[in-house]
Amino acid sequence: MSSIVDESIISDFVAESREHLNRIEPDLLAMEQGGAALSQETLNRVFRAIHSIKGGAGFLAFESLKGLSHAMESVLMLVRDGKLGVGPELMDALFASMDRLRAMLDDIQASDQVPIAQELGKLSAILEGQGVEPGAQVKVQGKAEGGGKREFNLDAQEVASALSHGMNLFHAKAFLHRDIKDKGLTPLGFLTNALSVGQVLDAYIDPMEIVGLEACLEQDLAVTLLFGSVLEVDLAAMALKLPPAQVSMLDMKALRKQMKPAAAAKEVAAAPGPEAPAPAPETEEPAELQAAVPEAGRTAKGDNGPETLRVRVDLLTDLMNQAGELVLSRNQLLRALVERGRDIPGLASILQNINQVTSELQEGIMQTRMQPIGTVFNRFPRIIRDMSRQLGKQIEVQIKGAEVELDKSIVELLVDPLTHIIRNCADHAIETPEERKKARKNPSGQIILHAYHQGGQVIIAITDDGRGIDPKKVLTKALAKGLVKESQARDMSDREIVNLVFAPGFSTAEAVSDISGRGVGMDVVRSNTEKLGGHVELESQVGTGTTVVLRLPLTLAIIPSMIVGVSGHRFAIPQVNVVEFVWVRAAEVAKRIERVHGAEVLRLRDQLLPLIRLADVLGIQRSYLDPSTGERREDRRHELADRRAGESASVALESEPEPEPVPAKRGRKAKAAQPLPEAPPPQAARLQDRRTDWRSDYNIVVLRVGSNQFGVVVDELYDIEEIVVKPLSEFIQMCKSFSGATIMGDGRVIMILDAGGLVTQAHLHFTDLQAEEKLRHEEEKRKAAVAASRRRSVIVCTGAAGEYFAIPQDQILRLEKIQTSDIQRVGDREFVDYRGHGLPLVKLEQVIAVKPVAADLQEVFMIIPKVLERGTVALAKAGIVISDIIDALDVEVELEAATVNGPGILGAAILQHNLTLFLDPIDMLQGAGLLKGAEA
Amino acid sequence: MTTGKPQLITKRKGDTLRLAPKSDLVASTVEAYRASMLKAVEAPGQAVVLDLSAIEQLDSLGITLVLGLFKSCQKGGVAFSIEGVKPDIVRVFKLFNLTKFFPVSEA
Repeated sequence: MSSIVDESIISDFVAESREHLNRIEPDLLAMEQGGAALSQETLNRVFRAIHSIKGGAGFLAFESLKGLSHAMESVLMLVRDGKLGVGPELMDALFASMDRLRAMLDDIQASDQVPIAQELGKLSAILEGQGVEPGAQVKVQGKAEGGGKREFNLDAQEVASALSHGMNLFHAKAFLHRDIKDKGLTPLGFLTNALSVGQVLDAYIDPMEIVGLEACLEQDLAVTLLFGSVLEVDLAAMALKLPPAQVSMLDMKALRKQMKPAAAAKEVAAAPGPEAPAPAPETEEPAELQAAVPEAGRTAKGDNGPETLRVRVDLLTDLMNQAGELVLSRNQLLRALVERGRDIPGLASILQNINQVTSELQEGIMQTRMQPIGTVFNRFPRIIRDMSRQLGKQIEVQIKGAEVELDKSIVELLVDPLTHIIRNCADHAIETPEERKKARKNPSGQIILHAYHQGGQVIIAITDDGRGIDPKKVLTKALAKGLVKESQARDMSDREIVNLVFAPGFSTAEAVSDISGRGVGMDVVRSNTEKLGGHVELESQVGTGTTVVLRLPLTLAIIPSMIVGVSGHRFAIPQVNVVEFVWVRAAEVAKRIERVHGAEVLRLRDQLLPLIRLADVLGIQRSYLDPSTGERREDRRHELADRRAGESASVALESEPEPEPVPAKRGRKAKAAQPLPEAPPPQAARLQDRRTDWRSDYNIVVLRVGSNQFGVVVDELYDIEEIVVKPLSEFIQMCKSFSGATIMGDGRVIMILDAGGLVTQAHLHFTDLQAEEKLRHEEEKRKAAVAASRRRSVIVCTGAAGEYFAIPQDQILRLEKIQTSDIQRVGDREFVDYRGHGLPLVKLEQVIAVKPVAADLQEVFMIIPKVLERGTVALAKAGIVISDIIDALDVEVELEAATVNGPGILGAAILQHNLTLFLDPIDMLQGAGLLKGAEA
Repeated sequence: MTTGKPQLITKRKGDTLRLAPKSDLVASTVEAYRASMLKAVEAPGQAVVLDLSAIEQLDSLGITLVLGLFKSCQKGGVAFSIEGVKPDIVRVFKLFNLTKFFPVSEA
């Protein structure tokens, strides 16, 4: 059973008061900046908010809360009436008081323990300066029955405010037995009802009416209250559930008159009092009424905005859970009935309808829990204002994307991490104006809060233009604190080092200030963000500033996920983490998957991605479906590229890595295709390597954690489903690899994988890879440069049988076929008639140590090199004899020193499996004494 | 909620009489409590302390009973106070402006 004071009234009050405070914070800031030119509307808003807090606190008897808000209200009233100017002192007092109010609301039951003396002191000092004594009271005589036995003690302002809202004041009497107990109410329930229809200014029971213990239970005690409401007297009685005779209206005119000089009057006798002090001039009335107008307009007509209804969060949470269950049931239903669709006419469309309605319902309910991130962002200007005053810095806050919505639970959990980051920015990052001037920066620092959507996530970036984080300092500190080992540190990038500030127990602040820097900060930011299924990263540039980026899911409850299978088990991977799927055909495994520092990596486009096997990380026995029997069998291979012993030796040989030259690559492709099923050797059905079977293809899910990506090898990819996250039971909460569980359409429970957890569990190191990648990139660049220098087009030809030569094409002008019978000998020179000239010929064996071209050939070829004569291309005046032309090729080769010596030999290389001598024809002709000068 | 039979624990310490009801002061129990209280306050001493630490509910009749006890004490010139009161119930006393008649201290 609930206690006497209904908890929900108190929690409503707290929630409402918090909203009031949040709403007026920007107004207070505006007050501070606006100075004299402050809009009346802003002031009224602040005043009304504080006033309602005071009213509620008074009713629920939270004395401190009431006292402080009352003092604030008094001050605000003076400001509103233009009797008090807005100064820093006043604003400080108001801000400080507001914080106290917040503190009290945070633990409302202990609100009286919150010290408020200091704030009250400040406010009273301000009030006294204006000749106003706080807490001036008005005495209103209860005029009914008892005839003024007791007076209501009321705040002058409370009465004034009730009047200014156009309320009538009533004196009401309710009997504990007759009017309360017999109607099934509790005393408090009665007051709650009264509060719902108006304002309870005071209530009391007079024990003096009781004679003693003996007869007390037979007596019907009366609760007397002073009640303010816009209702007329008969309606007020009805609203209070009291007989009309027990409710009477006070003389409003007299009261109004009396209230005029309220600020000056300390004690005013109310009601029929003809001796009321000097009535105020009537002209003041409009001012009073004016103040009430906006309020009335607002409540009566609303803001033209959408109508809202206050709903308890637990109710929404409940609805959301139900919607989640509904989604699950729908999935089950669809799965169960999908095959019956044709048997029952109309079933398909019904299912489709259910499907759609469920989705929309779920979406709608999710919407109700969405809150703009602005509810968190908007508190930061205030925090920064306080801090900049305290620290003597000038800081401006910019807010972008305040309208971006997140699930309420996420918004709430963001408050602490964001506050921490902001405080860090202001305290550590932003320099003092002098420092900034020295660094040629704008003396006032900037902090930008930016929220936006990206890829189904919400990104919150907090950027400052402060001094940035020095990786050297961070590293020194981290080493000193033992957060990293020196061996690790050597491989760390600056970015990784800077991100060490998120490590537990890290703080770079040289002095511990009361604002931040207790050394527990940023790791809390990280752990909180990760708890939300998000990620935090930091980027910093020394001297220019720092950006902290939080990546967060939109909601925690329902997430689209990829369902994957490994060894017959299924797991869900949240889609936010999934970057892409990579299908590596079994035959390509050896080519696409490599080893770096002993770990497997996938080469994906230009990136090296570390690869983990889900089965191994989770400690599941790897298995495969035997293609011949369909049974699940244990997989004993441990690496993707493992060879299988005892099977077809030829297969193993053919897959052996081969040297890199380009022509070889072509060859390998052809060979890799050989073991494919099309042309199996006779006994292949049994002996065929499983690695080349399609069932051994690799399904790799590429996941992203922060800025890092990695591949997870799974056996099967199923479908993308909306799953409802069920929290893990305590017993397995420690398992890093899982973030939750869910129930599938077919009723089975599967675990949700935590991408970040997998990284930790598999001990993945992204730095190694980044270094390796960098290395490879450089290597590739270097190779490309060398290759470009090496690339040449050559004519491949033969001399004596089995001897191959290559001559650069750009050095050849003509290739002519000649009959051996046309060759004439003059002395030891041979000539051929070419275009009417005798062209001297050079035989290879005359210049270099090679075998002579077979003498019995009918025809041979003659190469006439290209020379430059007076700047124009011309035929060399000699030819080189070769026996045959084989090919014209573009090659990239590295020439090695040839074993054969002689003029004109560039080097040797293997071309198409033949050792080939590369020749420089000009050199060769010169060597033979047939060309003069070095013309080429 | 505290259930059980209405049972009033009375303790005397010096001149102070301590009365501690063991169950809620509500319509169903007030009669029984009134009887035992009447008996107890026949010799009240200098002060009566009502210990409400076992009480979670106080309804209209409960309030009446407490006020009756207070009134009896007042007539007999005996100091009356309430102790060990749950915060919610303290609020009830405050709301009805009863705390100015006798001290109410929280649990």
